[in-house]
Amino acid sequence: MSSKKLAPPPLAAWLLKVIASSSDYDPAFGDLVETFEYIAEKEGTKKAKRWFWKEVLKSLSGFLKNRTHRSAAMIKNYIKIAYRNISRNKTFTLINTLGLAVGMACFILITLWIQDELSYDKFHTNKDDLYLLTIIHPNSITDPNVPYALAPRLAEEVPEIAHFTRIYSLGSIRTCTFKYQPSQGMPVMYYETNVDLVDSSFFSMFSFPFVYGNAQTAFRDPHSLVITERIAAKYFGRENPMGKTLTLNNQEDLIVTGVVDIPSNSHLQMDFIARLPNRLDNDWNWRDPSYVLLRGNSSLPDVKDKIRGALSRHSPYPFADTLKVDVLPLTRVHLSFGRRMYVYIFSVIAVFILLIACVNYMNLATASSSNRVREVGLRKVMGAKHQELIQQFLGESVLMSAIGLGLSLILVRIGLPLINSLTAKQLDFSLLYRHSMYLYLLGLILIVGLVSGLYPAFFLSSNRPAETLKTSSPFKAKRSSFRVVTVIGQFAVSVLLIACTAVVFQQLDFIQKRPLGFSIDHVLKVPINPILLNRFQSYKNDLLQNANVLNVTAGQSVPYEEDYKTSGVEWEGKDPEMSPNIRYSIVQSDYMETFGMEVMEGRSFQSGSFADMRNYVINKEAAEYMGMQDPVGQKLVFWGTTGTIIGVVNNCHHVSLHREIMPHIYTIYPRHYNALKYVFVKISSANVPDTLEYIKETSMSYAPNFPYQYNFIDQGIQTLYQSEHRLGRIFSAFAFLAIFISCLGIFGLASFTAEKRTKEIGIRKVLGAPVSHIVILLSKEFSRWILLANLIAWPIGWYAMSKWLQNFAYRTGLNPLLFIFAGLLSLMVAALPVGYQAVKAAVADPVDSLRYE
Amino acid sequence: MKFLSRQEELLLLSILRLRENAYGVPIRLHVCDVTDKYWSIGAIYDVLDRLTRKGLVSTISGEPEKKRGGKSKRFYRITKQGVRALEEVRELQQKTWIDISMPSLKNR
Repeated sequence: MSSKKLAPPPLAAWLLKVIASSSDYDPAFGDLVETFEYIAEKEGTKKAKRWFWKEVLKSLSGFLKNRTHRSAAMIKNYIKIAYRNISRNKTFTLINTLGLAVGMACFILITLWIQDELSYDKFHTNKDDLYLLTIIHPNSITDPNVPYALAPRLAEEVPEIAHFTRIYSLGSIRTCTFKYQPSQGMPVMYYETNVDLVDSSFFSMFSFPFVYGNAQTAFRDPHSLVITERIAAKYFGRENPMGKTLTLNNQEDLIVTGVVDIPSNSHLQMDFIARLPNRLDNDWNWRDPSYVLLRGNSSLPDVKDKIRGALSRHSPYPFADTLKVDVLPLTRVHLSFGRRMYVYIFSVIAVFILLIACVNYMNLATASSSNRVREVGLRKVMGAKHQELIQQFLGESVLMSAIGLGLSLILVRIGLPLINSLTAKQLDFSLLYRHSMYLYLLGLILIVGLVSGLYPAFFLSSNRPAETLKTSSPFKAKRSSFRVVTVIGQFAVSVLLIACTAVVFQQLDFIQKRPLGFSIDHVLKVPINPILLNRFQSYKNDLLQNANVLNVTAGQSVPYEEDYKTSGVEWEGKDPEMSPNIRYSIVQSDYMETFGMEVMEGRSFQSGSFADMRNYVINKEAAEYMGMQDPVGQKLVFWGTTGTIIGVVNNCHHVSLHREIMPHIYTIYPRHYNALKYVFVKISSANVPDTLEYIKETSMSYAPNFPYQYNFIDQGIQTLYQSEHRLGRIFSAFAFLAIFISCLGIFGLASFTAEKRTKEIGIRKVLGAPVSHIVILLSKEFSRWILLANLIAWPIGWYAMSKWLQNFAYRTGLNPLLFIFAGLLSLMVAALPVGYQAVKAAVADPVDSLRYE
Repeated sequence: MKFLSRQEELLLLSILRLRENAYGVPIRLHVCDVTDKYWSIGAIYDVLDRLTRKGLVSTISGEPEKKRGGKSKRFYRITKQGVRALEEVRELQQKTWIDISMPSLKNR
């Protein structure tokens, strides 16, 4: 135990050993360890470790100086030799620098991306004291949304909470229109979705930079409105937005009291921020997040203890004691809820691609060592020490890596817009103009240079001069097992990435082709407004006058993203202890008809029937969930309203296929009509422009004071799987790069093998071997390596992708054919460079290769 | 010939003073002590190596010790040339300082 604790930092010790590898420095190292232990005993391990590092870093220059003190002529000679080698083997130089450049570019891009991910919400002055309130469910899922009434209760009870703010996302429960009436001319009005109501402490907690106004005055008045720069430009153009009036839903006048700039690395993204009325203080519904600001010196465990049971103390829910209230530091919010995994995955990929590039250098340098064996031999005879040779070769690899970095910066410049479109970020090249980044780039050069050069350096410098100079042909066709292993590793990574890409795309294809249970073709979505809502029936009848309008209904949200859940459902035979979890849709009659949902038993809502207002339609899953054999005609209580089940529809995917189909209740009860947000109009495919014009005119004639806009809802379904699309594209880019760099390497190796065996091939041809025979001879070895790489990559890929697929409730099976496809693809791609070299060697005139004997 | 540098002189003197125990750790501690300055191990070895190269000290390797991470100590002994070089600087010191009257610092 104690001896382990007293060990000097291993990295520092290693560094020292590498730099001062000669045994001359053993006593100095011993002194370091002895003094380290002395300090550790007297002043603690931490201090001793720091001291050790300082000593090592200080001594490094001395050690290096001692060992590099040789004349400038020698260094000049090294540079000359390096230059000659570079220019002699143009192909290999090209392969090496290109591979390194691509690998480094990839690494830099991913670093920039990760830096951006990690920078989220760090710009707030109070970032260390800001927390998101969360609820932990019994199945240990963390819910970022909490009841509106929770934060005010906590603020009363827990003295450590200095401020709290709730976010009430008005735009997601109700259609919002904003209207600006300039002193002359037409009003400017739009539908908006990013509308949030917050508590007045919002701007004193979060430090969003103000373009106009300031945090103190922004929310003085209850009718204040803070908007972003983009919105200011949208409504007011170049005019100063301060003090202008925007009318919300034609009812409420709000005064613009501030314009903020919400940085892209804030997880809170809002366009309109207004003040929240106090009436929510007893609202125990939860849909939106709440944040608290703790006093600077509070102890987090204490706070957590105090808030843990708050829900069971206050909330009216019977099952509240199974729910724990918790807090999540603001700076960790962005990466929680699933994103952290991507940061890990991409870091690993970045390192692997860089390694593949380094491995190319190692393999080519050791493979080409035959060309330099004599140089090494001669240097040794002339008195060069082992370490001096190592330094020479390391110097060369660092030089190559520096050239590679130069190229990679150009690639980064070119690749940035591409990455931005792939990841929906705005990364800029200027992020690299920072001191920390200079250091990082310098470190990258050194690390890549050292990693790729270390093995060749030892390999080359360990030759015995007597042997290398004695034999007439210095190179023996000795197969390096290291090279085999690394090539297999390279291709294993490539195959892995190809297989992952294939699986991601297969899953995407699967979820897009899976029947959702309803049809969204030719369905129009029109945001509802108070007028259309009040006069819905006559509006609907007017629309239906047109023969091309087939059905009209209304709903809370497009059917593929209706994730409203409730526990307020009762039915006969329900276990009183049970807290049900059921999705619901507040709709209008003709909903099932508009979306072509299959009614399995009973009937759907009848248009204009008053009796149906209290009746319910449920899905098949709900019938099973409630244990009803014959559901039609049974009683059901939804939010206190008793009604009859009149029909059962087939299960539909109301949320993305990440999640299971749940029991679902459809209701047309008028008391809930405020929740309706969209009119859905199903039109026929004939004469669409005219139909659209008709719908527009009808809507405008009803509500001339509201903006009119529409979408076809089949367009929006793409966004459901946006992140999977993105992942697929990023994976394919990485897979391409990995296989590209690997192929560069294998191209180099193949050409070396071919070169080495020129004479053998010549003799074989003279003796009558056909070209095909020789091509097979040369490609056989590589094919074997790649097959082995596949064998390694398949189980890893299988495991990783089955983990990933578990994110989806509905997933495609893992198809072994995909893995075989990945293997064949890698084999085919690798066959190109290998085959090219093999054919080149095979068709060469044997006279040339044998002549010089 | 060239005279010893102050650093070399310091180290030679501490090697003399430490007698049998003259290896890296005590030498450094002693030098830090007299000069009241921080000397890194690298700095000590820089000078020690120079002294060795000039032949002013000789070295003897001790046994590897577990306490020192399995490394041996290297003990330093002053050679005849080393003694001579020290005497030279002492003589120089005495000669040059003879009859020097320093202006008082306070009055300036």
